[in-house]
Amino acid sequence: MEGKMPGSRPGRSAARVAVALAISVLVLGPAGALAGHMHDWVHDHSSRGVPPRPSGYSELTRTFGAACNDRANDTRTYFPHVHGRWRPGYVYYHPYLARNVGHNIRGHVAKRHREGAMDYGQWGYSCRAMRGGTSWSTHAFGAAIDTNTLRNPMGQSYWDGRGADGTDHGRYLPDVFRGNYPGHRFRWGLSWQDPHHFQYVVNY
Amino acid sequence: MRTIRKLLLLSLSTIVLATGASTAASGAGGCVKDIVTAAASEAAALADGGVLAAVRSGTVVVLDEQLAATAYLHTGNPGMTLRHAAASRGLGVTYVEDRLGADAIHHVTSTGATSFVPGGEATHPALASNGSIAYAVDLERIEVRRPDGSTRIVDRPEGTSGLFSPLFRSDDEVVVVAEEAAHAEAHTHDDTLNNLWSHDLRSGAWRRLTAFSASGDEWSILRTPVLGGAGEILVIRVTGRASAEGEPRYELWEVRGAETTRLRTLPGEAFLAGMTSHGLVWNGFDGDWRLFLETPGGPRFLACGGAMVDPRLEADPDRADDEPLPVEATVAQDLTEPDGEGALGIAIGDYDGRAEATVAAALLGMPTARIVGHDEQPLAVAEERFAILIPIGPLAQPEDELDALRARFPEVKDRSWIVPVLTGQG
Repeated sequence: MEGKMPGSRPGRSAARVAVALAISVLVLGPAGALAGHMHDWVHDHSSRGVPPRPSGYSELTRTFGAACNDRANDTRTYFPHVHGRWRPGYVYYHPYLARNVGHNIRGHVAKRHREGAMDYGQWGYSCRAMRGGTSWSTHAFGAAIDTNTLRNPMGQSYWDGRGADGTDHGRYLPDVFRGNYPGHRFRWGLSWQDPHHFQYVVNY
Repeated sequence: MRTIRKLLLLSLSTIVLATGASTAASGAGGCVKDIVTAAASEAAALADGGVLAAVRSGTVVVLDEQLAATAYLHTGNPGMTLRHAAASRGLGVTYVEDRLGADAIHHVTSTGATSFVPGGEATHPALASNGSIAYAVDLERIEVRRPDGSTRIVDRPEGTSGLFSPLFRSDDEVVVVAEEAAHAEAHTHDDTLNNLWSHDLRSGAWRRLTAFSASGDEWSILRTPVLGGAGEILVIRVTGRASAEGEPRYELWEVRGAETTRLRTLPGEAFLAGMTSHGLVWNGFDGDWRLFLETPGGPRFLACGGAMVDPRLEADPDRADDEPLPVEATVAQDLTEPDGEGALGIAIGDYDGRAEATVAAALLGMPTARIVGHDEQPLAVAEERFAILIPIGPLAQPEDELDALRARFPEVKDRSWIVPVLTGQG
């Protein structure tokens, strides 16, 4: 069954957005416009609503369902570099991670005025197999987020912390994803030379 | 999964379970736990090779010429994961031990057992009749290790971004699956288009064997190629779309000479394990990997184990749990941040303007619904777009709320999502 397209409509609207964002970057610094909206954001340090991180294939499927199930892309969050650098769009993922990704990752970065630390490309749900393998990608379950893909391609054994603003933010972004409160705890793909990949499952 | 269950039910009456002295104890996924007959060493019968090998739970399963299966214990690190195996009569058995970091390849023959570490993620070993072993390293290159221990590196052909699943068509020709660079619209860095290529080990020349294509967010990948009895190559092609929901399409293809032919569309996930004199052997997953022989009367269960499929029930050592960061070491744990439970809602959209969204809400019978734009809900709605926002109560299950909404308004099924909501706004 055909599903939703990952991303909002590009084109003239996106181009206007890109221009507007470019101007805001010059005037306000990266993410200046968005940060102004974030005064009601809260950081969820609780475990409620941020359920346990599954381990292994069996727990993964019990938690997220089968690969490419119609639930796996039912949550969306607006990210700044989906269609290109400073070309925002929606990232889709499983509702199990709604507070994790929506508030504790994306909201955290926006609140800290660090959207310039993020960079193209940013992806979530994608129905596909693991590269070269017969296992499903964690993206097929809506259980993983990619960010800063362009500067951190698969096969690279280090994290390039430069963001869309050209500044080296070090490990700021990986640390947001893999913090030790329940609302974070993504497994970083750096261990298997996939530095832009953050998944909410281990041992798979 | 349902397909394999059907296959299994069909084959239950003809199961030949010849795993030495088997027990009835059920393992994970319902597979019968094998009783290991011997360690995987040069002294064991597996050193002669067999017609097909598979791995499962630290054991190497070898099928002899009558397709009787025997399991041998790999005597490496306890709890290790074995991945991918190949066997050839008189040439022994080779398989990968998946380790944290660089993997090891083991080769057991009647003259001895050898192990070596190629220096990366090793996958898909294959045996040539001259005793050479080909395998992929990091899915980036193929290495051919000769019987004298020397190694030849085969770099990928121009225009490709990865290589895996080597297969000896002769001692001088290796057929591989090549990953081609993702097209710009693919919205992924990942494996989107595969084709079969042939490499002449004497001249170093590459030749493309297939011409599959993919566009938009489509992907087309090839898995588990095996050599048929007349030099033809059989391979599973899987196609899908990154944005789609539901199982992708699985097909069995044949490459014979210059002809590439689709032999059949498969009812679900299935991969190839090898060709034997008895027929084609398949790998299917039903809680565990199982080997089936294709016969005129239907599939015949042979044994549990995976030949060139990835282990699913065993942990990949590279993806094991990691230590949480200490609180003081991460900027993400600033306790001065306002603490609380992030609110969620359901967004129906998007609409080009606030008026359009308002009319849409009225047509849905939601005259008091809140219409929000990016200014009110920057994490949920794009710039210059608008959505109908329905709050989700703190005690409600978001998925249940979304299901209920879609059941009531089926017309919004493909335009409704759970979104993070900033409270006090919109």
